[in-house]
Amino acid sequence: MNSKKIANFAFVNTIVCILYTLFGISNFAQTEVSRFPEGPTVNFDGISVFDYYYGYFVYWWNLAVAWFKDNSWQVQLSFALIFLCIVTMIILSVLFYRNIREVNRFEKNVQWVNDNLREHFYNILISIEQPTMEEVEKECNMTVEKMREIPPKVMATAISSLRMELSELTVLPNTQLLCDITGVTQYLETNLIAKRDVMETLQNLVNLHLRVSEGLLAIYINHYNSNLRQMARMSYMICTETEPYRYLEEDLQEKQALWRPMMLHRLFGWLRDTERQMPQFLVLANVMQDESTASFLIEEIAYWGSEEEKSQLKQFFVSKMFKCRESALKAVALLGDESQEQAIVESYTHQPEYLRRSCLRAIHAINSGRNTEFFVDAYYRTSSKETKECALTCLYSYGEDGRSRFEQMHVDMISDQQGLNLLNQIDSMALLQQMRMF
Amino acid sequence: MLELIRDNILYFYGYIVFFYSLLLISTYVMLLIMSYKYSKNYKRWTDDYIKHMVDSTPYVPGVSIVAPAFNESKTIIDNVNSLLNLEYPNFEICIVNDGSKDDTLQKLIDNFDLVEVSFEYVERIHCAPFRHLYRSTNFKYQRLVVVDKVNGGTKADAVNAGLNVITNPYFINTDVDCVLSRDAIYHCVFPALLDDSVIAVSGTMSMSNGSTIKDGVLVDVAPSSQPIPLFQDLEYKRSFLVGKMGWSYINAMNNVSGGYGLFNTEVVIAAGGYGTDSFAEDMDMLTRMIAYCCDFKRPYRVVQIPHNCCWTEGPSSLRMIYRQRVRWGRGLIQLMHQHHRILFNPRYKRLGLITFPNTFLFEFLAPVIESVGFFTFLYLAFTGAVNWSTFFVMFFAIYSFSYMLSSFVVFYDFIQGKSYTSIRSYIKLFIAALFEPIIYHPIIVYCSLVGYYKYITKQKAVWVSMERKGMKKAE
Repeated sequence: MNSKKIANFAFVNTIVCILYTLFGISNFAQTEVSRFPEGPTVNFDGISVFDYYYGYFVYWWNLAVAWFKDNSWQVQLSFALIFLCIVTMIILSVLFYRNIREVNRFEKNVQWVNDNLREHFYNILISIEQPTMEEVEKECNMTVEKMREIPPKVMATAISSLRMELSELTVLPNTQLLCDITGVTQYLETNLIAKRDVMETLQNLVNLHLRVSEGLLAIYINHYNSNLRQMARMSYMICTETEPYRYLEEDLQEKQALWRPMMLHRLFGWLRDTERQMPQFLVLANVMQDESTASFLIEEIAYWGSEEEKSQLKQFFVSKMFKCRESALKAVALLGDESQEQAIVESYTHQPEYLRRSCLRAIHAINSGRNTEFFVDAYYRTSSKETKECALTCLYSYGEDGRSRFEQMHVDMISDQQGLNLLNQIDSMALLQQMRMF
Repeated sequence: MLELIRDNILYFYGYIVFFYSLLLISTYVMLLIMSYKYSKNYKRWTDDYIKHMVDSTPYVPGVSIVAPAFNESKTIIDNVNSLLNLEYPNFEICIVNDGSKDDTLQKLIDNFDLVEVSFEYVERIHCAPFRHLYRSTNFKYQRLVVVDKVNGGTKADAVNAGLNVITNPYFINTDVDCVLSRDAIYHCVFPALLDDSVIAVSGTMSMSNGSTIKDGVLVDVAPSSQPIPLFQDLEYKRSFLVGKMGWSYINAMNNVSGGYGLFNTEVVIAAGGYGTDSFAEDMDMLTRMIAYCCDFKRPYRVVQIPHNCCWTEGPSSLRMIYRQRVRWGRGLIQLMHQHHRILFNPRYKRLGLITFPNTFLFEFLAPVIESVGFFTFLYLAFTGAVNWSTFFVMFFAIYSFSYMLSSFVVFYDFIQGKSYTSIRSYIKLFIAALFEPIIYHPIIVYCSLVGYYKYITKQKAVWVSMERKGMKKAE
């Protein structure tokens, strides 16, 4: 019997004994104190273990009752508290000792892997060619059997941390091979089957972009815990090639904080780099009820959308949802798409103040050189200090034409102290940036 | 007749105190369970994964670190270097020179190649007049911004000036002498990424008195060998890992420490910024933030994270701890006085129905009940009315509970990610837990009472900066 089974057995026994004790309280109080444990009893079914424990409990219970029965209930309660505290501290000491040993052992193993295998793993991961098993053995100076003797949790930690170091590379095609050889994939699959550390396992699967059987994810894909469910669905996108976005729309309909879009953004990057089919961002953005989700999808078009989707961003400049307008403007700014510049200029007057600043930034990012006067107008027309600052900042770095207009404004605003302050602020920031270059 | 009245009063007083203690113990047990559940849930996200995600996304929100400095000439360079060593893709450091009389500003200018830049200052929150804004010409220090202002007399005033300058959606309020762990920003931003209703995040803090620093980074983290910082370390751990984390589980936290906490800039400004007249500006700020959210029906969450994010130098002498705790005592009574409308007010949800009543009963009234109990005990002892065996049993019960709680916290700290580098440090804490209830706790009770007295009698408060010894420096 392994230690877990023994612990379970002891736990069940303890519970049964406590139940016996509790149900027998009224009888014990009347029992004589001198009653000693009688040991295992024999009946027709053999030796009764429960009776044996029961006798012990009756003995100690009676002893305790006899000792404390003359005290007030307050004192009895205090004794109970002392007893509980002592028991808790004993348990804590044992757990502390056990934890120290476990942590030390784990850290030692991880250190060993880092010292002896990390460099080899690194070479395998960044290699363009897929190595054979023999080549992996040769690279690591270790047989696969030997590698598999190392606890897979340690291996998973080491490979995962290495993957994170290589985060600039979206795709590492040999990760799957390395994890299969070292037993990490098997370990993670076992965790999913045994429902052990599921969240950590799913994080590893998503982080390493490992493919496991879709069937293993089935029970987590519709899990009640939203974080776990979403992680499982992300893992599903990696594992399946038949219909990867089956759950995406349903998933996106849920209220999103920033964390989920961040994870999806990285996953979309990986999907694109592995030449998988991408989701239809534009279609999804149009059906989303939640403003934040729709705006996220619009912004994603700039990163991973198709050319057709990119060219249609202008439709969102006058969307009913302000966040979508902001994202579309950001996306066009990221793309630097000159063909949509005019649409931005035309939408400017229909925007609230904070979105006007997004318009200015987008026009500045496109940098066609055609809108110098637009910035100047924007400065004079607005009463918002932030928009004025934004317009001047854009004007300052809008090519030679923009810079000379900026200098001209210095002269024009000689009597406007607030305006001069803003001009000086932008001037000095730009100067500072230049000084930082050298 | 008089004797009968006295006996009855003592009888009922005894019962009140007994049930009060039972209630307090039950609260602690409940908090222990809740904090365990909370951290178990929180720990599901691995640190590496969080860091990796934040590093590889363009959606990461910007964070400003606002750190006021007043006459910090001795340590300012090390401290700013330590802040510059932080890891996070999008952050700025805003040092507010609160009219220092020494050469704090000059040292900053010389060491970090600062130049004065024009800045159109807009006072979104009131504070003492702004003077200048400095930025570095060196690319290495491009994240650094120094605000120079007229001394406002309080830390709150300096933080408000910083808030008028920063533009990021979140800011971290810390002291310039605090040493932050390199990944501190990742840890405290994460709850806000996970849930957009998070308005404040509190990181766990420890004492740095016994630690060694090298180039702004702690290399050997150990508790102090001096008794006061050691006791305070234990107290901090209990407060963060059990108290705050437990309350965090049911979204009923009442304080985010002024030493280290992340806040939503917009909510802080909407709530009116830091109160410059408050003696406990951190508690006051959070109370007003939550009250603002409740008043305007805005969802909110205040979160405590189990990670040790910040090390601060605690008072190492009796004189300094007396000053600090008297101020905290004043702050607590002031908070209760100024925000009494929140107490038992269902409009303020958990704050009004759970947190405030709890603070009132177990934080504000505790020193009063404890001191009355102590003097009653002395009276009974001198009149021979004490049942000594009962006394010892009850004393030992409370003492063992207190020790058990501290042991639990120390163990908890270990499994949460080890604040200290060696096991010996933990043993030190276990030993400190033996003496803390009988040596340190009475001092704290006394200081709180003095604070209450000074507030009630409206004695003038003088702000004195803490004398610091600094940490040991590694060769």
